[in-house]
Amino acid sequence: VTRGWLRTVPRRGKASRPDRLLVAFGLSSVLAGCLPVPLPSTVEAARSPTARTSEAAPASQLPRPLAPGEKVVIIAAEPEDSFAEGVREQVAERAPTIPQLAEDDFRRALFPWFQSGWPSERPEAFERAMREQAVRRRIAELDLRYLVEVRGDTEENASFTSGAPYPGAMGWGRPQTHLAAKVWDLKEGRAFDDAAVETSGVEFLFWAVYGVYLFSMTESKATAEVADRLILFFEGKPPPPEITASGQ
Amino acid sequence: MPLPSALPAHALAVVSLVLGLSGCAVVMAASGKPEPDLSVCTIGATAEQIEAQLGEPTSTQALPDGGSECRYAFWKGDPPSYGRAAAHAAADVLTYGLWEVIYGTRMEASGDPAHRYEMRVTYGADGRARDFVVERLADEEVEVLTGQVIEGAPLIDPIDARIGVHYPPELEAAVFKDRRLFAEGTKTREFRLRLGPSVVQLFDAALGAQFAAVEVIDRWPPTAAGRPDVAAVIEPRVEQATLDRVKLSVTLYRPDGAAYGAWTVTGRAQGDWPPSNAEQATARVEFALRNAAVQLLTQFRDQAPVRQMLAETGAGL
Repeated sequence: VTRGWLRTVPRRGKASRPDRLLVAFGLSSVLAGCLPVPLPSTVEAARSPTARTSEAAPASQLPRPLAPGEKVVIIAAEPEDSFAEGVREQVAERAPTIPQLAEDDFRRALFPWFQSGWPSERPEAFERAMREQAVRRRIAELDLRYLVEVRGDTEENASFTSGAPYPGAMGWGRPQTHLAAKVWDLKEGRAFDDAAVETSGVEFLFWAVYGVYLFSMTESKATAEVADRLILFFEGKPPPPEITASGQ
Repeated sequence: MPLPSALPAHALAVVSLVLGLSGCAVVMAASGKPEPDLSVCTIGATAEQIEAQLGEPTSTQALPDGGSECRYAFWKGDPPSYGRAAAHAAADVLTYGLWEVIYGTRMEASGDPAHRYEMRVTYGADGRARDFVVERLADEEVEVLTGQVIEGAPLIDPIDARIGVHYPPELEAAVFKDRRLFAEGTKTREFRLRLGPSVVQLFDAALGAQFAAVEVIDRWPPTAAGRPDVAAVIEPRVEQATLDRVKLSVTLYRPDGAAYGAWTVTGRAQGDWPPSNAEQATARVEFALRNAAVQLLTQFRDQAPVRQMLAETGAGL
């Protein structure tokens, strides 16, 4: 069979029909492997930082809006995690008037507290840091109000016609992105419930090139939803309705 | 008698030169690397007996008990190769001897790394060998020298006390080896981590932030007449250092030399994996050191020996 195919390849001149088919198949496979065809992603569940307390809570318990000059900082829970960067960019794009402190500057200024890998899930870790006068003084100098820590992951959930991602195999994915943003008020020394978002979508792709996955649709949808909720929170506005996994 | 024409004279000069130079690579390949007689390496042997076979040590380190640790490099199992010698000779002739000058001799002198070994001999204070460790040297060696770990002053409310810090002599000189496979598991790359100066800088900065004053104690434990005028003395050590983690131990002593206790902090590394050069390896180890510094600083007052010291001295209350 191989010799037969090779015999149809001319040395010069126009390609024969089998040649063109081969080239077309190869090119389309490569291109499709690099560029999955995205379908719209949907938000399956979402809640705001104050979602658990705001409905029954008096207005005084709503977050105080940022005062002029006050900053926020959005950091990654895990090193080299790009979700925090996504949320930072979305907040900057949608609300450019909200001043943000760069993550590196924040970590440098607050060393050794709030460094990469600090046990943020333990309330005592935050309380311990805030007991230091030097920390409170530095936060006041920076005029820093809210600390947001973003944690996220995307499940690929991919399937392939051949059962495995062999070159040329057609595949589809049902990616799900889970994103959570924990907020602390550094000036009042208190923590809020997480803002959490779950998005899912469907993408078709040809698996022609190993390791190429672009599930950016679910991730960008999730970071945008979290950014919207954070912006309302920073502005002291009531949160949008909570979305549950079973629908609105 | 008439002089020969220019061409034969030229050829004669080249051949002479080649033959003269080929005393190196051709002969070295034909004779191989001589193997030392390791039967002399027995417990109780003297350094003279061992060095008669292994040559001068590549490094010597004094031990606290008056003994020393010496390292010897040697070749084992690198037999003569007449094929390689013939290839060198042919290359010499074809390149008018340039092969010898540029590559041949150097290649033979460096030898096949697969046959390089190192013997670590520990001598007692009496100068006699008491321990031997032999290992094959790695195919590649990468030196990792870490730099400054803490920049600026850490944000810590200081304890109102004067603390002493004693850096053991072996801390700064210590070298930790981490050998990893690469090239599809066929070769070994040995990273030699020298992080003593970074650990000293780390503790200088950390204790400088944690206490009102810090005094470096040169002699420890103290003599009866020479107790330092400090609330306590801290002695750091590096327990383990690899490309994955750095484990530091901290011992807290009373000024009279009695120990309050000790604890450890382990810093985890992050960064490029596997590191393929010294820069990437250094970045990983520096991250681990910085991570250890974070734990040391943020958990310092929670350590039982520190709490006991604070309670006894009344400092920081």
